Amino acid sequence: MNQQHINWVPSVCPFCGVGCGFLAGVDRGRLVALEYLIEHPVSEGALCPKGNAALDTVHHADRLLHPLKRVGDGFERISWDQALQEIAERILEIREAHGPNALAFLASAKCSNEENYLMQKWARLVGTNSVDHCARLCHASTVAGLGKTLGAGAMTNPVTDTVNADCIFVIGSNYAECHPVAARWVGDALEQGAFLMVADPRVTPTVWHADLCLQLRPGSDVALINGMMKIIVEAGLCNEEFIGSRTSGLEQLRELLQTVELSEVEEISGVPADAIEEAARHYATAEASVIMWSMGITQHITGTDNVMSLANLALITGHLGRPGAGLMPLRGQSNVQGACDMGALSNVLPGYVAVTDFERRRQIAAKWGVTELPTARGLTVVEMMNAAASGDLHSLYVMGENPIVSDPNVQHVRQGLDNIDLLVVQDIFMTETAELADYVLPAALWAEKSGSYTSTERRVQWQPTLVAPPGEALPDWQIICEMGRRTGYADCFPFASPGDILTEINTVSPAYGGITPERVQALGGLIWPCPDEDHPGTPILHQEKFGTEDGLGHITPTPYRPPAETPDEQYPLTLTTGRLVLHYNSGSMTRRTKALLSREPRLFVEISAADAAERGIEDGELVRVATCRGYTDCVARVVPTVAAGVVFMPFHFSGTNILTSDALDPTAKIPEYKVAACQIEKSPR
Amino acid sequence: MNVLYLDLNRCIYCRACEVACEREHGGVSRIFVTLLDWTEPVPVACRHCEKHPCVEACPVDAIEVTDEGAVIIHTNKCISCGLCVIACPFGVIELDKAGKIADKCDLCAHRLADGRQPACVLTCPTRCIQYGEFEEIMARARAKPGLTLVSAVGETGTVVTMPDRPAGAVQKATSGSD
Amino acid sequence: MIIGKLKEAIICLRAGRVTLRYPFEPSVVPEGFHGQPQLDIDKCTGCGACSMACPARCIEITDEADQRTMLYCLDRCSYCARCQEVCPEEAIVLSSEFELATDSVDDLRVTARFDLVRCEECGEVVGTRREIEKLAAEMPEKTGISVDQISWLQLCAECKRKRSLETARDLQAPEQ
Repeated sequence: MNQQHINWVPSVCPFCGVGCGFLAGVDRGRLVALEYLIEHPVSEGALCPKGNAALDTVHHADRLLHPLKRVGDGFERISWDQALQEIAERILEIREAHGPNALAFLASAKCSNEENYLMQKWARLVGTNSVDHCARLCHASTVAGLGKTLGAGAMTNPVTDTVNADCIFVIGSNYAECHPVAARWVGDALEQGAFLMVADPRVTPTVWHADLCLQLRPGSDVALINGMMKIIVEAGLCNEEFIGSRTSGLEQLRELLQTVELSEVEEISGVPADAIEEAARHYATAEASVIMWSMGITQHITGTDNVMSLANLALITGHLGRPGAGLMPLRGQSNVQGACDMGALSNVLPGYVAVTDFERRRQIAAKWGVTELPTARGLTVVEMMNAAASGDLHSLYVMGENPIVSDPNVQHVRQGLDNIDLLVVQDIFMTETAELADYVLPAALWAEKSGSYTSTERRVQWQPTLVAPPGEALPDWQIICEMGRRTGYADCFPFASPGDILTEINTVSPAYGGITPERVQALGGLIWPCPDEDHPGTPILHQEKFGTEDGLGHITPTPYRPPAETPDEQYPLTLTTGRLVLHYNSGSMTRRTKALLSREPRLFVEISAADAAERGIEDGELVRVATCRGYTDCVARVVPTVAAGVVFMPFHFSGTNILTSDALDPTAKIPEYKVAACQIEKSPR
Repeated sequence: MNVLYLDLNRCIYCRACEVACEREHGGVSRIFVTLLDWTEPVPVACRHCEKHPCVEACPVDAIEVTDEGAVIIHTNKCISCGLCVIACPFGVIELDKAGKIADKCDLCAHRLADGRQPACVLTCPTRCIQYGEFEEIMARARAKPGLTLVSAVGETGTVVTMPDRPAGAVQKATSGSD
Repeated sequence: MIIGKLKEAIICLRAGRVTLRYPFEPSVVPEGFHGQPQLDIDKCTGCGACSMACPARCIEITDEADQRTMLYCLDRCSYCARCQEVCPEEAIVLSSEFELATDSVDDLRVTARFDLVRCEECGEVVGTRREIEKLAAEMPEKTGISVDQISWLQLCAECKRKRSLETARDLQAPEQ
């Protein structure tokens, strides 16, 4: 390859939320090479296997090239004009016939801030708050739990700040597989003598490096954390000064902890009391401690409770607002933080303004040039599917999501989507969901459009356009603008470029006030809150006071509640799900990448030797995993890394979410992917 | 003299090095990460041994030791006899899929030539794979607390440190099975 | 016209006989002639380099149980001598033999059999016994690695990778 022609452009990795950078090599309109961006502040050039394969999907032969309309069982190619006009007309018809709440919109954590901003703006102008995205399925409980306790539902310290921690408590996160570059900074901390403790039902690669491992039962997190707090409070290891000056609610917590018995905690969680004690003492007495968590904490019916109890733990020990001390919910998608910030959630407007907040809602309405916006909280992802199945939802507009693979209990989702009058899917590939759609719109992917993306550490980075989209594919922002204009809101979508949209975001969302199109293009971007053009950004939150109204951290006692499903005679095993390092979410990108698929080609279930022997199952054998919602066939892996009674399946292949539970957390409406009662037997095939 | 350094204690079995190597070398990876007992990852690439059995085994002198100490196969000279594959102590030389040509890690010679480090080194998320001056690397390796230095095959070999894992990660897990 | 023809005839008659009395007397081939390949079974180690090099795919290798069979189908040979060029043992040479006509194709087929060594751990083919014995015999002197340090010759590449840490320990240079 002649390297001389190549134009190297700094880019943001399109996979997980760490926000790594790389150099994309463009030669005559094609992405031809990838090089490591050593100057990048988060990744220093490092990339996980997915990042290394990031370019493979760009010029992929499966890309959607033209707008398609359903005709019978197949699709027919139509013009953009016809597609946009017909969709706009049908949306308006449905609104006329059934009211605006018969419409729902799914935004996407893979799209830019600008696109998510437009999507929720369009939905709200059309008259509904039923706009949501997959953050509902990953960190909705973090946003709710941290919002209530600390006043800001985001990671408090940057990923690189882990290196300053003396004690790192990882619970329900397998960062070594899901956020591999985060392991760089934890590794550095360990070499400086930090203590790593990991609570996980499985022995994951994250556990390999731990000094202390708490192999808890799925769904027992609150019990474990309450047990730790009881030990801390009773041993007098609380940070009294911090509690006194910066928090409220300790008394209620004390009352709750009096009802907690360590022997019970031991029984519920399966973790020996002395290990809980060791963990509690290490966490409380370290100079600076961080807690890292992911879906293992959030995807439970007690997700919000789990997050709040972690916040309680940090508040009573004062491990917040300093370098190396904080709460780190590691987010899973390149722009899931940003999509939440932009208000692509059914309960909040941009800047986390509650839809029920009259005053601030009116302010946003005024900026958009309308007098009022819908006031009732809209439908969340899982509620949309329920409403579709029951006939209350008539139209669903999906931008870059694949609910038929990624949502829980997908047979129910399929029923819902079959039942719906109008399903529009805007995506880069013919996904499993797109196959059910009435209209499929070809979208541009990350390299074919510009925009800003907010990583897990609130770092807003700019992705410039590298190449042109294939065929007739268009950037999502252009499609939404056009839909907005054709549904009667021409004045509200005057944008000619993503930069124009970001300029409007600067005025609507205070935290993004100073993140202007000019400033954000610097390498590494800016970390919000960045209220004005001279502000350098805020890497560490809560240094002086919390984001709550009174500025105090609200200690919120949370009693233990068992998971929605517990094993019984028919389904005696507990199924938990998670990610693999080589794949990404519903797999529509990584399953199309040879280097990744060849290393992890098919769905499997990890089962302990004891459970396998009991069922006569051998390693590598085809088995059938069944829950009360359905069954799926896959290969058994008999491993020593799961405890007896627990089995694990990755969720990147269709099949897993046939099994998972759609029981919801009452506050955050996040489904309990992490616990389902199941049975495994030899496959009858 | 520059050498590779593998700090096994930091490997997370993500296989980014394999995917990166594959990308740099036309679809075939020359670094292999093996997982032992589901919990112990061992990345293996050519050690560029100072006493190099592959060079001695090759009947047609297709394998050469460069001035930088890299052991390199000139694939155009290879007769596919497979003797180097048998002779290699670490199993890092393989014939290509057609069974025709032996190939292995060349320390990314094309990258070193224009001043870039090997791809596996730069991509490694955890700094498990490093590349640098021998003395400096040895100093780094000796400074790691609680690690065993298992290999420094002369000054041109690869330096490896590994953790002492008497019990293994599974045993470290405090409970769960009952 | 006629005179021209006569002159021609005279020239031809003067030259005497130019062809050989073959097959009544032997035909001597020039040096470097590419005749039938001849295998020296004592030298051959069964490495298979010739098989890979052969453009006509004359040389078929099959590994079964503990035996490698190399079948030389010389009826397909194009006499290019690539096998001779690549053979590391000089075990295959293109001879001067060219009288190959036969009623039976089997006369043009040569079979050589070799003992195979399979991986001690997994049973994958490592190579022929001759290859491994040759390496074992030569390696200590050529590399300076002592005989008792050489433990990997009976392992396949994948199993060698799994054992790489033990091997590294065995080969470790003494710490200065």
